[in-house]
Amino acid sequence: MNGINLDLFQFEFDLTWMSFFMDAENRIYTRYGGRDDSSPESHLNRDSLLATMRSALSLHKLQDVLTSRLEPTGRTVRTPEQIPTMRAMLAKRKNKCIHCHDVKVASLRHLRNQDKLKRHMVFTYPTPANLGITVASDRQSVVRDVKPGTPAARAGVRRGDRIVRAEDHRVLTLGDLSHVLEKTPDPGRLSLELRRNGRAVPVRLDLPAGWRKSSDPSWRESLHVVGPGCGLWGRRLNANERRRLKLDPGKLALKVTYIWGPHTRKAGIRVGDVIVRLDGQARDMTIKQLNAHPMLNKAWGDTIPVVLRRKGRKLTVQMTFPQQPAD
Amino acid sequence: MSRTALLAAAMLATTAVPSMAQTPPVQKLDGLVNWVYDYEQGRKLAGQTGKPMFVVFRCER
Repeated sequence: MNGINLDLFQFEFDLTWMSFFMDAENRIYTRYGGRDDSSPESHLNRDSLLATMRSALSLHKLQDVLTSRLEPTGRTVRTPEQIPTMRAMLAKRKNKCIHCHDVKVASLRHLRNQDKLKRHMVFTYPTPANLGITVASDRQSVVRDVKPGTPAARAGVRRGDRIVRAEDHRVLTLGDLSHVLEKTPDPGRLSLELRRNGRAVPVRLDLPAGWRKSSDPSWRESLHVVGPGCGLWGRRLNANERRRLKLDPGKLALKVTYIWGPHTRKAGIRVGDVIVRLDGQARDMTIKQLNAHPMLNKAWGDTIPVVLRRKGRKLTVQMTFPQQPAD
Repeated sequence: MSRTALLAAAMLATTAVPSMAQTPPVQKLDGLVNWVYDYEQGRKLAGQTGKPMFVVFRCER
């Protein structure tokens, strides 16, 4: 991301892959990329990319670039290097490569340094799933399913509808819709123009407070900025290991493989321990989900109980997070 | 070359990495596509050829 104009290239910086179809004048036809909580490639596939490429070629012939009020102009140049906290981050590295997630990490840290950081700010670039919509895998503007009780369901969005516009912004892809959702307030309202059986159907979604949040943001690399982590890495025990230790298959069982947090060592946690409960949480989790729990729910300086299995014995330790972030 | 490949070849004009002091060396991609690793160079090429750009950000971590 070194030197990239962030005013022009706005996207989910927690992602590992994103693309833009553009003309030579910095104008955008459509965006392709984005993910939900399930996997990095949840919305990346050959069919949808080819469909988007075909659409982009058609739009290019007509010079039909996006012109909505939500489109960046790119006239103001703002680079990652200009984020005040980026310099300190790069100073610690041999390789001065700025990764996508570094942009978000540096931006959130800058807000934190200004006492403006709120935990919910980590939930950037919501996807249609936040509205209750699942889009088709090959044509990302087509509604494959609508979850009952969600803003989309309440507004009357139906399976098979095609989302043509969000606000005044053309929608061809999940990336296009996500771009609009990023600019939509919380709580807020969103106007969609749908195409249903050849007819234009306008709907308005009422988005309640907290609509931008998703249920499992543990994939977000920037999460560690908004709250304290456990300072350890580990792996889930397999079925045989769980059987041997008489641990429930559906419950938390993470073997500690690496510790980097001084607070983790101070709590008495050791490599080889098996974590079976953390801050009252005993559901089966990945290590990323385990680390995400305090980041999303605890404050710096808080103390939480951690229940361990060590050499067949059960013990409870208290982990006190640092009073402030180390960075 | 298939229709799909023709379309892709026409579209894959550039990938975005700018020129900056202290910019680390580009990690080039293998494959059939001649990627352009400098955004401004890609823009220039798009202007000369009349082709649209397919600008890709990929991150390896």
